[in-house]
This record gives sequence, C-alpha cells and structure tokens, in this order.
Amino acid sequence: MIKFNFKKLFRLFSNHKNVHDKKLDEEFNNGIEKLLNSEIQTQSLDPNKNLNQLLITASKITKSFKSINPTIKPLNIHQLEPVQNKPIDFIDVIKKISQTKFLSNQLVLSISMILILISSSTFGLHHSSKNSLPGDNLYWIKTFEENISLKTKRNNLEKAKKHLEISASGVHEMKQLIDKQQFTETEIALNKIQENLTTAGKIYNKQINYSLQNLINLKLNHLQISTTSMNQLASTNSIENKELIELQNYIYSSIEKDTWEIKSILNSSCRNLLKIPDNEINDEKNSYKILCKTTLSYQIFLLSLKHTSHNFSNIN
Amino acid sequence: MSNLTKEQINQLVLDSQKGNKESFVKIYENFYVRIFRYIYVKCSNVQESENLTQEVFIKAFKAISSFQFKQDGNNGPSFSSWIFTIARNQIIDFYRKNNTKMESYMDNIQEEYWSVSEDLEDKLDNKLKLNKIIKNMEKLTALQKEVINLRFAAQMSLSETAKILNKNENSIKSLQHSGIKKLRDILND
Repeated sequence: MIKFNFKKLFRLFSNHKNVHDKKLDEEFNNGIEKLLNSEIQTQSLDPNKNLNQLLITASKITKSFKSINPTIKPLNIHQLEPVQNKPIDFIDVIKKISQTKFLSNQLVLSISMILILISSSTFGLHHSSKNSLPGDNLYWIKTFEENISLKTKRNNLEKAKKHLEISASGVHEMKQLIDKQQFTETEIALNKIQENLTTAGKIYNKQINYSLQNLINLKLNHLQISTTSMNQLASTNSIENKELIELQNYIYSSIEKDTWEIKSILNSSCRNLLKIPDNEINDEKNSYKILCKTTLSYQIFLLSLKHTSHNFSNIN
Repeated sequence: MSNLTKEQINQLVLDSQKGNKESFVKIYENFYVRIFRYIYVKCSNVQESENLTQEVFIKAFKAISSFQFKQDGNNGPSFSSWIFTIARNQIIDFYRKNNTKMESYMDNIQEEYWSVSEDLEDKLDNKLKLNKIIKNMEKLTALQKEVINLRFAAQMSLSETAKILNKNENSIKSLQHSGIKKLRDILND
C-alpha cells in the first residue's frame, strides 16, 4: 500500500516560498547593514517598492533610538572590587540540588560528582590536595575533606579538636601563600583560621559551662539525694570531666610541644617583618603583619583555654 | 559616544582582567550609551534604566576575570555579546523580582536625553516617534522585539545578536524582517 507523507508533500509545495523569503531577508539585511553604517540615504529610496518601504521604516527606528542620548553617569571605580573566588563547598552544592526539582541533568551532575569523589580517592587526588593552597585547583578537595571529617565527629569536644587542627592548617597555608607572594588568597586562609578558632572556643566554653552547672547541681543536692543517685551524678560528671581534661591536655601539649608549629611560624614571621624597612609599605609587609597578629592571637587563645582549665580544676 | 575598535576593546578587557580599573572605565564609557538605550527601550523609565545600566557594569566588573576570549576553532562570545547578555539577564531578573510592568515616564524625560539634533522640531518628532515605536513594539513577539532592540538600539551586529539570543543568523534576518514589517504601517501613517 502506498503511504502518503503529507509533511514532505507540504514542504515540497512550501519550498519555493521559503527560498523567496530567505532572499528577501538577505536583501533587507544588506540594506540594514548599509543603513547602520550610514552608507545609505533613505531620501534616494523609492517608497513604492516594498523593500524600500521596510528600509525607510528601519531608518526611522534607528533615528529614533539614536535620539536616546543619556549623559554618562560617573562610575565609582573605587567601590568596585573583584569577587574573591570562594572555594567550592560540595556540601552546599548537594544541598542546592536537593532543594530543587530533580531533573535529568541534575542526576547526571550527581553521578558525575560521585564519580569525581571515587576517582579522587583512587587516583591520589587526596594526596595531591593535601598540600594544596587557597587558589589551587585541588583546594576544594582539601576543604571538602575537612568538612567531611568535621561532620563525622559525633562528640563535641572531638569537633573542637578538629576545628583547632583546621585552624592551625590555615596558619600554615597563610605562611606558604606569603612565601609564594600570593597575597590575595591569604584572605581565604585568614577566614579559615578565624572561623574555626571561634567555633572551637564556643564549643569549649559551652562544655565548661555545662560541666560547671552539673557540678553546682551536684553540690546543691548533696544533702538531699540518696547515695546511689549521687554516685550516678558523680559518674556522669566525671565522664564530662574526662573529655574536658582530654581536650585541655591536648591544648596544653600543643602549646608546650608546639605541635602545630604556631610558635615557630610566629617567630619566623616576626623576623621577616623586621627585615622590611619601616618606610616601605607593600602587600608582603601587610600580610606578615596580619600573620604575626593571627599567630599571636592564636597563642593567646590557647593560653586562655589553658587558663580556664586551670580555674576549672581549682573549682573541682 | 566613543567607538573603540574590537582590538582596542579586547586589550582593555585584558587589562581589566589584570585589575586595571582605568581600563574598565574606558569600557564603561564605550558601552554605556548602547546599554542604556537597550535597557530604556525595554523599560521606558529613565531612572530605572540608569540604575540597571550601572548594575550591569558592576556585575561585568566582578565577573570580568571569568570572561574568556574565543580561541581558534572555538566559536565563543565577543565581549559585546557577553556584556549585552548580562544586560538582558539583568532586565529579566528585574522583571521577575518586581513581578509587574514598570510605569512609563517617557513624557517627563529631561531635554538633555534628546540632544542628537539641535532642531527643536526634530527633537519633538523623534520623541513622538520613539514613544510610538516603543508602545507598538508590544504588538511584536518577544523574539522580534529583542532582535529589533539589539540591532537598532544596541547596534549589535547580526552575528552578535545571534549569539546573544542563541539563534542562527538566518533566523535573526527573518525575525528582523518580520518585525519591521509589522511596524511599517504604524510608522508610515
């Protein structure tokens, strides 16, 4: 049986018209190009011709649009600062994807991400990223690993320890960036130091307050509760204390042994800063100043925790 | 309005990417009027057009380091297509956020905006025609409107318009033709 393909038949008949339109479009466009380049004077065109009528209309439109002639407002360039490349946080990417509708291209993206993660562990990206610095291509893997390791810590005090470690790694990154003269990226490292140090401090203070409250309650109820309950409370309290003592020891040893080499970075930064003449102001000098202040405040922070732990032991 | 060559623009873009703010100011001066016209045709409001034009340049400055020139064999965007794409998205974003059509203040535009010709009659004539064109552009399809705006107000080339709208050049020729055809009778009365 012969089947009629009406679509093809229609195209066959309409083909002639398309060719004609394309030719007209082409001619019209050539006229427009001349018009925009001021090579054509519309006065010389015959308004009875269809194409010329269109060109006259186009000319009127061009003339009217060109009559919009605003005065250029001054641009305050000092307010313009290029955006720092924020390191990619894969947790945020995953969150964003889960908030929107799950489309096929997002599925592909998710699979690609999983593949990237698998391949990164297989092909040693982990090792390469370990020493990467802000601004490096593999820095996001390092940030990602740090975020993951924080998420896996169930205990708050373990989290605080990890925050201190991450913060200390930020100090090292900052030092290396200054050595490499990559001053713009030091801001990323500085943020990392500040954020993690603050979080560690908050967790520590919260834990101290919690343990103190337990201790006060225990002492207040001393005469009212039975021996068994008191033993239970005491044991709970001692668990809290054990964790606190562990963290305090950790901080104490890190200061004494300079585990994170903060003290040595502080010393070398101060030495480098002193080498730069007083009247010289440059990015290197500014960065060293910030690094000195940061390492110094880091040491002060650790010492203040040590001091709090000392007071806490006295109360105990 | 200064008219820089493509090579001069490319050099200014390269310098801006290295952090040279003065080069970016030159880019700003070169594109300001064209971007303003493009935005004004879409929103017919001087103040909003000024604000949106400024925002386009602030966005462009922040993102200029990510702009990549076309490499051999790669049909990438030119800088003008890139900046007009920002302007286009800025307007789309503006309408999406405001969710309404802006009120037109066209009749209250200060005289300095119409200073192409010194002749008062010409000024008035252009002003009336512009008013008429913008009002009647509403009768066109979204794509016809966009093509006419980019070609005549923004003075973009055929290939640049095609890149911004993600179409081929033949489609742009056809849209430009059909759009002007619709406006012909209105303007020839």
